[in-house]
Amino acid sequence: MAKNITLYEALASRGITRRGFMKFCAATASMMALPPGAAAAIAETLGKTLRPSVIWLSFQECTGCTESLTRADSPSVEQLIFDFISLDYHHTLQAAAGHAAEEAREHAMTMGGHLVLVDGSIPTLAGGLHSTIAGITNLQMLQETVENASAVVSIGTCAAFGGLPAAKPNPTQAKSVQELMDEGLIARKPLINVPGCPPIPSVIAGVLAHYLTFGVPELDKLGRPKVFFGDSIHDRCYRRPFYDQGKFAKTFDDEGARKGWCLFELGCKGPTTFNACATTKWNQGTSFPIEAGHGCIGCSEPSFWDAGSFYKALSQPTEPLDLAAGAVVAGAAIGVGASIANRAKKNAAKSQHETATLKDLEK
Amino acid sequence: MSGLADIAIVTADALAGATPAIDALLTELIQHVERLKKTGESTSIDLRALLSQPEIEHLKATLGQGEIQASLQAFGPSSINETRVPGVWFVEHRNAEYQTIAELLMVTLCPDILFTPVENLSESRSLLAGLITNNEGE
Repeated sequence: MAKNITLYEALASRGITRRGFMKFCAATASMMALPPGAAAAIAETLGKTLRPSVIWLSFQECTGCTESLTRADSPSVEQLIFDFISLDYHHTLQAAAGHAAEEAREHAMTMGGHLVLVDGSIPTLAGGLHSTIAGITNLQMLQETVENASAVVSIGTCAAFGGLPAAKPNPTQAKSVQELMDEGLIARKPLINVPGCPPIPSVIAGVLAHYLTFGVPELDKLGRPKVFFGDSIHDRCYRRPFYDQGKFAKTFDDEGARKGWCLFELGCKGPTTFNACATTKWNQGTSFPIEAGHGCIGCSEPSFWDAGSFYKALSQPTEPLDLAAGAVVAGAAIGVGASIANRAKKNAAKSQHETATLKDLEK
Repeated sequence: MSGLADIAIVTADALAGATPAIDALLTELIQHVERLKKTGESTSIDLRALLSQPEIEHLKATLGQGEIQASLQAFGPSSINETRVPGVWFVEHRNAEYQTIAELLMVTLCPDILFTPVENLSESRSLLAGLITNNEGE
């Protein structure tokens, strides 16, 4: 696809009519959590926007973020947006390899004004030697690619906050893009964090669409777009009424679990996790983890891997703003009770704990 | 197992029926209808940002079906139906795989997407000319 065509022309070449384009813009506005009235502005802007050059860099990561975006099984809005951008470098997806691949990146870089997408954290120990591509460290590659970029998007929790590679004891001294900018190790550019392990595909596409139409979206204090990360999972959870009524599942197979009661006492991190899972959902809007009976693990928050067990209740319910004072006290009592019960469980487990050996793991 | 309904847990259906959110939305609709009448200004509401799926279904049943039921085939099917409340339209856009990509409640005299795009009129003359069996005079 040529670079000097607009999104409307790109869609028209696929047989999408003007009405189809208007519908696409209405769906894009919905995906970006913008008011439907914004669809007209999106249509006008995307009708004029030329294909942007995008360089996608993958560092210390598991490829789950790329999988999240590319594994959709139907021609969705997000795929159309993703198809529209000129993805000039993505070493997992591109056909070119070796010197040809690196030449594509260097060519896109010299033009300037490109958008850099990063997944994976960046090792800094020993000059970054723990991860290299094409003979240079991830840090060097990021430094030269960001230099003339218009903006950077950190895709996934590893790029946004360090993620699993930065989990204790962080053997490679892995850092996020934000940390590298703060330390002056790479040029400071407008940065959008899109955390999640992996991030929701329509959120990735929504951020790209927002950047193409209205520029960098409004961000929260962690650099996340407020349109997607402005509400906690808990506040938008369909099980929230059960929390307010004090109805909690105590185990994964008790009556409360079968009745769909709140999973707070089973360790759900929904109250402290900001993401769009409860509204956007996964697998083409089918459901999200809580709907499948498992609590939120808080994967879009910094250091989620080091925040204790996924199955340990938060110390007390948070922000019960809509509750009467009595209910707040009752909720706090439940939280404290859960905390004490968990401590007792932990102590019991500790007393029975035996150190696992390599032999045990091979059984 | 064929779907979520087969899993032995209660899902969002537990909340089906009238809810405070639906009542709030109906109240808001009154304001929008009044504004449409006074100023001609249309409004669109993204239902999926406000309501759960069972609430949307309940609202759809509550508003009922009016005189117009239109369907659109562009980038997948869409249904554009006036509810039994004049000026209140329920619009559902699906993609080619029949997955819902937007559900809107519109307060308008006629949803814009039903109008013929002016850009398409340039094709009309040549299309019509091509339909004339004796077009030697063209």
